[in-house]
Amino acid sequence: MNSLRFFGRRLFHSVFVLLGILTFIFFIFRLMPGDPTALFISPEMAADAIQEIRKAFGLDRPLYVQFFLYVSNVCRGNFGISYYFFEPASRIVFEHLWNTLVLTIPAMCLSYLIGLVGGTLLAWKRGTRLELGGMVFALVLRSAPVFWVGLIFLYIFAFKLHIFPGGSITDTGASYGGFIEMVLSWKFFHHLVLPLVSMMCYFMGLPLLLTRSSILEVIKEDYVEMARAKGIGERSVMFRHVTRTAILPVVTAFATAIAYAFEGSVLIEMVFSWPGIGRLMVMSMLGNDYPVAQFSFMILAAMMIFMNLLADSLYGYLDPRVVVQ
Amino acid sequence: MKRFYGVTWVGMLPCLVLVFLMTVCTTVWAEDMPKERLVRTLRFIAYSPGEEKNIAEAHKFIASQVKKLGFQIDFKPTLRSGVLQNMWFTRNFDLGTLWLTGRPTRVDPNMILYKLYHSDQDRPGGYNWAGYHNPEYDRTVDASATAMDQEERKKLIWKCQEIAGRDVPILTLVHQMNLSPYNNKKWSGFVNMVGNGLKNAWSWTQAKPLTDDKTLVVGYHHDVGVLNPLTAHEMNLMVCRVVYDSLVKVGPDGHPKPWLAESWKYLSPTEVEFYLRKGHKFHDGMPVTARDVKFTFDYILTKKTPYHYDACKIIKETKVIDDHTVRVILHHPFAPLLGHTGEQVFILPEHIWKDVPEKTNVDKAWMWVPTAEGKLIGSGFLKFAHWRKGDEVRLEVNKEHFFAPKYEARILKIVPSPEAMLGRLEKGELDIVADYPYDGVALKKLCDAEPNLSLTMEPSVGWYELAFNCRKAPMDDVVVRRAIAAVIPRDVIAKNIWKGFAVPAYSPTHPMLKPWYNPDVIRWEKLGLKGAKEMLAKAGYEWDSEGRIYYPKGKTN
Repeated sequence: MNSLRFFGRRLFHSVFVLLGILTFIFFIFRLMPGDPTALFISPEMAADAIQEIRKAFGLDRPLYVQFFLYVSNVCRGNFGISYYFFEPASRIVFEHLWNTLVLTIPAMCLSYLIGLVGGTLLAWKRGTRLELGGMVFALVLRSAPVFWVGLIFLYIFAFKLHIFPGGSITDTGASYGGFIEMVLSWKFFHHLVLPLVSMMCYFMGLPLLLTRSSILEVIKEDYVEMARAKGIGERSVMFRHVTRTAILPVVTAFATAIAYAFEGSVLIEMVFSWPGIGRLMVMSMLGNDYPVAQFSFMILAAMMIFMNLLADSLYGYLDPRVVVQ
Repeated sequence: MKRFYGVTWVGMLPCLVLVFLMTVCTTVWAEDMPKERLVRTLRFIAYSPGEEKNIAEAHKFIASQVKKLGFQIDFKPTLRSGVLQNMWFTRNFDLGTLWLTGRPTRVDPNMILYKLYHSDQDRPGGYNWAGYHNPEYDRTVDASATAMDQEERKKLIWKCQEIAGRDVPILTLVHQMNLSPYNNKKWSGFVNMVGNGLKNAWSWTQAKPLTDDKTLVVGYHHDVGVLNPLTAHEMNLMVCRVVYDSLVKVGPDGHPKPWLAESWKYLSPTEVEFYLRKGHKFHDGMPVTARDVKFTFDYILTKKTPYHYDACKIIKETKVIDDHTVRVILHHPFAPLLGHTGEQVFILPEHIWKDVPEKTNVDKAWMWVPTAEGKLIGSGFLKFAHWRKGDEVRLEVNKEHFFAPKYEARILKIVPSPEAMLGRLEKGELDIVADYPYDGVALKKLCDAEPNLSLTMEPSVGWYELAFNCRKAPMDDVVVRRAIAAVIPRDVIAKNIWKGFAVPAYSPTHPMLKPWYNPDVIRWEKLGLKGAKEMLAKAGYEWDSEGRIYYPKGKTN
C-alpha cells in the first residue's frame, strides 16, 4: 500500500516535471539560431511568400503568444503540424517510434538477458581464465563505437557474404496492410538481424559487468555462507539465493534502458537506413522542424521520468529491506 | 636582497615596465597609421558541412587568401539554418558562401541572372543577398527577359554576365559535378541533361531494363517531405516532377521540348497557344483538358501559392479555345516563358483541386497533404503507389502515358549513409543514384573497380558562390571585391580542393549552355596577389608594417 501511495505521489510530481521540460524545450529550440523557413526558401519563390509561410506556422507572433497557443493545444492533445511533412507531429513521431521500438526493445531485452546470465557465469567462475576472457570481451564490446560495429557487420555479412540485406526495414517495394503485418513477415526479420545484433553488442556490456560486480558483493554476505553451510548445492546457491538479491541494480538499470530505447540510435539508423526516431529527431533539430522535435523530445522525457519512477517503485516492491515513504 | 648581475629586483622594475609599455605601444600603433582607418575584422559566414569536406577546405583556403591582402577575418562555421537566417534576414556579414542545386528550371539563364543580381530581389528571403544595386544591370536583365529574338536576347544575356563579372558582387566559384552512378548490367538508356546529369525526366522515361527485374531502384540520401505539387522544393521534386505533367520540359540540350503540349504557336509576342495531346488522362481516368490547364494557372494566381506564383504572374489571362487548345495571354513579352513557367507548373486535375482548401482541413492549398487522402493524382508517367516514411516511395508506371517507360515501377529508396549507398550499389540493391552528394573520389574508385557500375559526371547548372555584402564598407567598394576575386584562383579550387569533381564557374551561366554562356567574362584571378595589391594601392588603400589594410583617406568603417 505504501508503494502504491508513493507511486501515486511521484506520478503527480512527474506531471509538473514534464511541464517544465516542455517549456524548456519550447524556448530552447526557438532561441537557437536558425529558422524553419530555411527549409523552403528557393530562388523560385515569390516576394512575400516567406512571410506567408511564417504566418501559416504561427512564427510571426511574439514568442509568449506562440507558447501560450502551444500549451493550450497540448492540453487538448494537439501537438502541432510538422513543418517538413505537414502532417500532425504526433502521427509522424509515432510512425517512426514504432519502427524504432521493434528494434530497440528486443535488443535491450536480449542484451539484458544475456548480460544477466553471462554476468552470473563470470562471477561464479571468478578467478578463472574464462572470467578474464569474459571481462575483456565485455569491455571491448562496450568501448567499440556502435556505428563502427554496425558498419563492420554490414560490410561482412551484407556486402561481402551476401547473407543479409544492406539495410532498410524491409524488402524494396514490399507493401503491407499495416505495421503489424510488416513486423510479422520473414522479410522484416531478415532485415532486423544485423541492426539488432549491432545494438546488442553495445548494450550487453553494462548488464554483464553490473551483474558480475553486484553478485560479487552479495556473495560476501553471511546468508550465502549460511546457505552453503546448510549443504545446498553451489548452483542452487548461485541462482536461487544470490541472484535474487544481486538482480536489483540490474532491474533498475533495465528500466532506464527501456527509456533509452525510445531514443533510438541515430547512428545505427543511419548505417542501416532504418527509418527510426533517432534519425527523425536529428533531422527535425537540424531542419528546425519545431513541432516534431518538441514532441519527440517530450515522449523521450516522459518515458525517462516514468521508467525512473517505475524503477524506484519496483525497487521498493522487490526489496523488502527498502521502505518507501 | 637578491641581486641580479649587480642590480636589485626593485631597481629592475621600472626598466621592465618601460620595456613592456614600448612593446605594447608598437604592437597597437604601428608607424603612424590612423586607427580609425583600420579596416575592421570581416565576418565570414559559412556552414560546417557534414560529409562535404571539400567545402570546409574551400572555406579555409578562401579565408587564408583574403588574409594575404591584409584583411582580418573572423570565420566561425555554424549550422546551415543559422547561416541562411543571417544571409536572408539579419544580414550581419561581410563575406559568405552558398550553393545552389541544379534543376531544370534553372537552366534558362534568366532565373539566376534575375534572382541573384536584380535590385528588387534584395529583400528578406531574396536571393540578391549581396545587396547589389546597379540600374544598368537591372535594365539589361529586364530587357533580356522581354527580347523574343534569339540573337538580341543572347547579346543582352552576355552583357548581364559581363556586368556581373565586372562588378563582382557575387564571385561564382565552381560548378560541382553532378555524379550519377548506375548499374549498367541491369539498366541502360539513361539520358544526360546539361547541368543536371542523369537526374531528369528524359532519363526516367527512356531507361530500359536489361534483365527480368523491371523495378528501377533509385537511391536518395534524405527523407522525402510533404508530397504536394504546390510546395515544390528539394525534398519532394523527385516525386512531383514525375507524378505530374507540365506543358513543356527542358530537354537534354537545355531548350524546351514538347511534353503535355504537343506543340505551341506564338500568335503575337504576348499570346501563345498550346496544343495539348489528345486522349491523355489523369491517373484516376479523368481526361486532361485545356480546362485543367486554365484552372491550374488561375488557381496559382488567385491563391498566390508560394513557389509557382512568380512563374505565373506574367500571365494576364488564360483562355480555353477548345478541349485541347489553351491560349495564354501575357502582360508583356517573356522569353523564359517555356523554360520557367512551362517547365515548372504542374498541371493539376481540376476535379480534385477545386475543393482545396475549402473542403479540406487546412487553411492553405500548399499545406494540404494529398497522400493522406489518396489524392496525389497527376497525369505523369509514374503513378503514386505507396510511401513508407523514411524508407521508400514507390511509383508505378502509367502505361497510358505518351512517354510511358518500359519498366514496371520506380522506387525511391532512402539511404542516408554514404557507406551503405556505395555498398548497396555494388551489391545491386540500388540501380542508380541520381545525384550522389558525397565524396566523388571514393565513388569513382568504386565505379572504376566494378565493371557493372558506370559513372556519369556532369557539371551542375547550380554552383557554389562567395557573396560580398555590398551594403556596407569595405565590400561596398568594387575595388575591394575585385581584389579579393583576384586572389581566389577558381581553377585551383576546382582541381585541388574538389579534386577535379567540379569545374570553375567563370560566369553565373553554365559553360555548356549554348548560346547563353559568355566566355569573355573578365577573370580577375589573372591579376594575382601582386595585381590585387596594386589595384588597392591605386585606389588609396594602405598597409601598416604588420600588413594590415587601411581605408583610403576620408573613408572609415
